Amino acid sequence: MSDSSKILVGLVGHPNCGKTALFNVLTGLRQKVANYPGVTVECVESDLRSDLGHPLRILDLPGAYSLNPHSEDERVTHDVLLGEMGAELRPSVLIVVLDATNLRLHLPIALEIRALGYPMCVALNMMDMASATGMKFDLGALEQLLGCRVVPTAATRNEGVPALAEAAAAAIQPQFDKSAVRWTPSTREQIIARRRQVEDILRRVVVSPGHPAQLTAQIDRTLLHPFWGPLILLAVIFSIFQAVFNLGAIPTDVLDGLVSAFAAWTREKLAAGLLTDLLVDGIISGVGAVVVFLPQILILFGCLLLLEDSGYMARAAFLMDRIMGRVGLSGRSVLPLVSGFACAVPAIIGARSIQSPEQRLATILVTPLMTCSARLPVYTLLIAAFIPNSLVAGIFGLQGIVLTSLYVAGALSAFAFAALLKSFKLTGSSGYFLLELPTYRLPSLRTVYRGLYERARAFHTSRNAHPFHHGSVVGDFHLSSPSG
Amino acid sequence: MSKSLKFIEKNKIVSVLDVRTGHPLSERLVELGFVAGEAIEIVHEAPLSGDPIVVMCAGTRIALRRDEADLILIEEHKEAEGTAR
Repeated sequence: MSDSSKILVGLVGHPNCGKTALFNVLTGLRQKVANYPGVTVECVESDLRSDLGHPLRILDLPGAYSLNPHSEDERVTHDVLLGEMGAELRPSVLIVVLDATNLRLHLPIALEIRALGYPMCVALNMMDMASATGMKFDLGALEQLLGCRVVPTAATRNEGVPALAEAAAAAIQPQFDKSAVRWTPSTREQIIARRRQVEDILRRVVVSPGHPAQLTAQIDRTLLHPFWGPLILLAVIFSIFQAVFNLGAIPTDVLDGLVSAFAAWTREKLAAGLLTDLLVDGIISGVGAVVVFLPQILILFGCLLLLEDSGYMARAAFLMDRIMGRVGLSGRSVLPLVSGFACAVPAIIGARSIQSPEQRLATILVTPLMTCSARLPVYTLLIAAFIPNSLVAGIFGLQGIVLTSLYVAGALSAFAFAALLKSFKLTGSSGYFLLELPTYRLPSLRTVYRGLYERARAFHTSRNAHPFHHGSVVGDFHLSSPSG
Repeated sequence: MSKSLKFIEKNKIVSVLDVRTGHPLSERLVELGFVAGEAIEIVHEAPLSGDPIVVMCAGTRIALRRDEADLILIEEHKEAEGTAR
């Protein structure tokens, strides 16, 4: 997959600094990505784009506000940097990614990492947005104060990428001994001292503070409005389901037609017999039943990626926190639970960002109750087989109502189970909720595309192997019935 | 006994005095910018119950429950300059 003789560069930064977008432009879209097995959280690694001319591997570490871990994803970053995940996962150089539009919040982690002693350079990301609001920095002064190269980048516009690769390669210190890195948790005095230092740096580096964009505040006035906010959230969720089932139905029907045509063609070409039945009714319809649902699953994942990348998912978490809190979950459980409609595996991985261990456990336990997309083919097949295609009250299809009910029942059972866990005092005693609401931004199509590509690949390989099993059970059922 | 952010009304600018210790999130709140002297403001309240809230602090929007807001000790100062935005 990637060449382990190449030097490993770690990307470190806050959850909302555009780190993943930067990873995508550094490694290119066609690169294969290694997900580390045996680690319960995703740590993505890939080779640097070969046209950038440096033999480096890039490791995208989970977003972290500081090295004092407050959630499982922050713990991964902490563990990787301190070698607790093994020497081969430990980077030799770090690129610290900072959001140029909010350096007061982002600079402390750069100081913390510099204190560790890692060779590093800084990517001053989202420079396009900073410039648009009139911000100006004295980059030379910042380089001097941080003691490393600072490269302005705009990951979503592919700007500054060659310079960043160059700076990372230049930062390599062959004599640097990773194993000598020592760390102790920061005390409050140290945290405050770092913030003072940041204020001091900003006074010397910020040439013009610009006019912070008011757009996010304006959008939030509507999206977080006490009355309209929840209505818009409901409308968004409803539209996603509409898109999945109505929009997704078009390519699904086309694929379905192709699969049926292929099955018919195969049956025609082969002599009638048990083997042909196995091939046509078992394998072709079985695999076909899975492939046919790919468009719907991709639409669902695409919508979720768009919501996350734009910053709306954090607002949904804020609006839903109260309801979630009633059953021992938190607003942060919203993303895993909604992702559970697509696939439980990445959804459970998404639960790693929940800070409270009890809320995280409750979220992980109830997420599989959400109706994941892999169950859709099975539901559809069973509904088609057992529920008459009649109309209720003249307009609603009975089959559609049954399918919707299955989804609602899944979600309700997740809530009921969470409440049950709470009533047994297994969870719910130490819940809390703390979440940064990031600035809204246009979702990066590259990020969404990359995410979808990965999901599609995972769908027809290992992760979603289970619908195939269900599919073949249905195939076997066909096989054993004389009518075929 | 100083006041906490918990019962401060929306859109009122107050300044941070301190963050109570002993909660798993205490140090994280300091890292996010709740440092003595910082001007902060509740900019949104969740529908119906008014909990959680969104606080503007040092140019960052932070959503938290009122129970966590109780950790943030504040000072009501009319002359606190409106730097929260």
